[in-house]
Amino acid sequence: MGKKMDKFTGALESVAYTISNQKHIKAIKQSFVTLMPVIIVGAFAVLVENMILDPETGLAAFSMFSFLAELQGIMGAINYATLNFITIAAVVLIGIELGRINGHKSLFPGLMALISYISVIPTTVLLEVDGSLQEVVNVLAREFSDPKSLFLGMFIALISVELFTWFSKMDKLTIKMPDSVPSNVTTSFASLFPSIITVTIIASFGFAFHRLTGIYLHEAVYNVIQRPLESAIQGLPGILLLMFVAQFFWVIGIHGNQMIKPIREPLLLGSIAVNMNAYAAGEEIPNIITMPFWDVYMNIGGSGVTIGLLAAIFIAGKKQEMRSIAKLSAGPGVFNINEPVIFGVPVMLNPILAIPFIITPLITGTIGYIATVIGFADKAVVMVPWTTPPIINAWLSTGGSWGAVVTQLICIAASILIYLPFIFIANRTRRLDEGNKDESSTKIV
Amino acid sequence: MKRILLACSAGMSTSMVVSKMKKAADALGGEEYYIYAIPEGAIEEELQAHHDEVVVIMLGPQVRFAKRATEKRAAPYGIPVDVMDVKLYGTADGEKLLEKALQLASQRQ
Repeated sequence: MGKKMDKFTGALESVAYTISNQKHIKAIKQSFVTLMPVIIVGAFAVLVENMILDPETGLAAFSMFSFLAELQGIMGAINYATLNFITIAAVVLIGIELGRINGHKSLFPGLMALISYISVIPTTVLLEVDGSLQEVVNVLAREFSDPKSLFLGMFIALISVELFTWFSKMDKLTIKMPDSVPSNVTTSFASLFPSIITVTIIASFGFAFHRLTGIYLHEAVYNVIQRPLESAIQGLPGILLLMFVAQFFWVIGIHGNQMIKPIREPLLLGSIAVNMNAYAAGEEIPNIITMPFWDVYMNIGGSGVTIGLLAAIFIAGKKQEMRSIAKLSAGPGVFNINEPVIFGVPVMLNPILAIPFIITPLITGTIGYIATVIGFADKAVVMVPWTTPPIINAWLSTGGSWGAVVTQLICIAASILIYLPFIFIANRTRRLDEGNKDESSTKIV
Repeated sequence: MKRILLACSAGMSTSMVVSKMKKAADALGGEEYYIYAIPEGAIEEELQAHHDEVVVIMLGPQVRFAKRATEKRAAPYGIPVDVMDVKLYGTADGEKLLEKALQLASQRQ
């Protein structure tokens, strides 16, 4: 590889380093890792509710099992506690994670973030009772605990913990005790003033914002930041751009999904949570692009839809080495794990395979998008883990849509067709390619 | 037991490497090692809990951007950190990776 290439990959690597070590990004990323089981638990509740307990769509539709419908409340409760409470969980986790990064020993920053968040949201709702509007006080409206307020929650958590850390480090604000006072007592007072000041600042800001502008902070954050981002990602160009960036990093051998996670996770996990809620409530499903959409149509067999690459190698690959790596990679590939493909074949820094590796997910994503828009495939309504094998993930995530399964099969066929010609080229450029490989591997290590 | 700690994005893609390294270690005989993989984000906690047992940390090439940060975390305990060779990782060459891990571990202060 030339010097220019080295410079280029070096630059991308430092971008990767910056992204992965920026503390706020790290806190958000880490929090969503911890949050995943919550979403999966919610998905479980939605699945059980719809496939078993629902008197129209589930097992309970058979008169023999109709008693099951009585139990719907259980799954409804789990659904509310998980999917409808995701923002609250995220706020606490981000607070804890950022607190830890900032050097706090206790979990208190998580609480600090939660208190601050609750202090900026309205706790009254207007309700129409017998034709007249009544103000109901002391309630937490659903829009403040579900994904609709996710971005407000993320911002408040980050800002409040930063403020808290800043004030905690000020000597003047720590209460000094005589030496005779036990140290545990002293530390219990240590965070007193920083907490009071932090919450006062945040609550005052929320209050002043509403007074001065006439709109609530949550409305502003939703309309100015969250909704534009959501609509950008819900459009085909937005999601393709995100995928393109991820693939680009993979080509130089860096985990691309890790790079885009900070933006992908809140948006795509938010959108699937919204879909799951709508599905459980029997409402119309709003979002096309969700986390399962990404996994089902754009990540089959792993990043780059490498299921197509593996099949193409089995069909036409002539290099013994490539075939043996493909064999080794088939097992993990079933669970959408493809590092052996990327580093073994390799795709990394391979100018021939980089092309289909980047364009295949863009094309299969487009196929999935069109199939969903025209209603051939159903929208995803259940979150499934990314390691769920193809076909099963398409079927489960869409609540049993065979159209989605067929669409995924079309995507797989398309991926094979796209990779095939490049395998033919790779067969012919044997020596050249292998020369590159040795050189690049020595350089990277 | 001494621990050989591998880390990648989710700790899953490296599990194949782990099983190959275990096999290689069994074949080699000698001292027993606990070889396992975790997500890169969990290294800090892992070190807090087991820094006295971890003898080497090896990162998957896809998270090599985490090397500097990991080195900083491992330095106080004198644990060597390295990124696994792309080729060895891609082909899940347990023997050579184990060899490398033991070699690094012997440098542990």
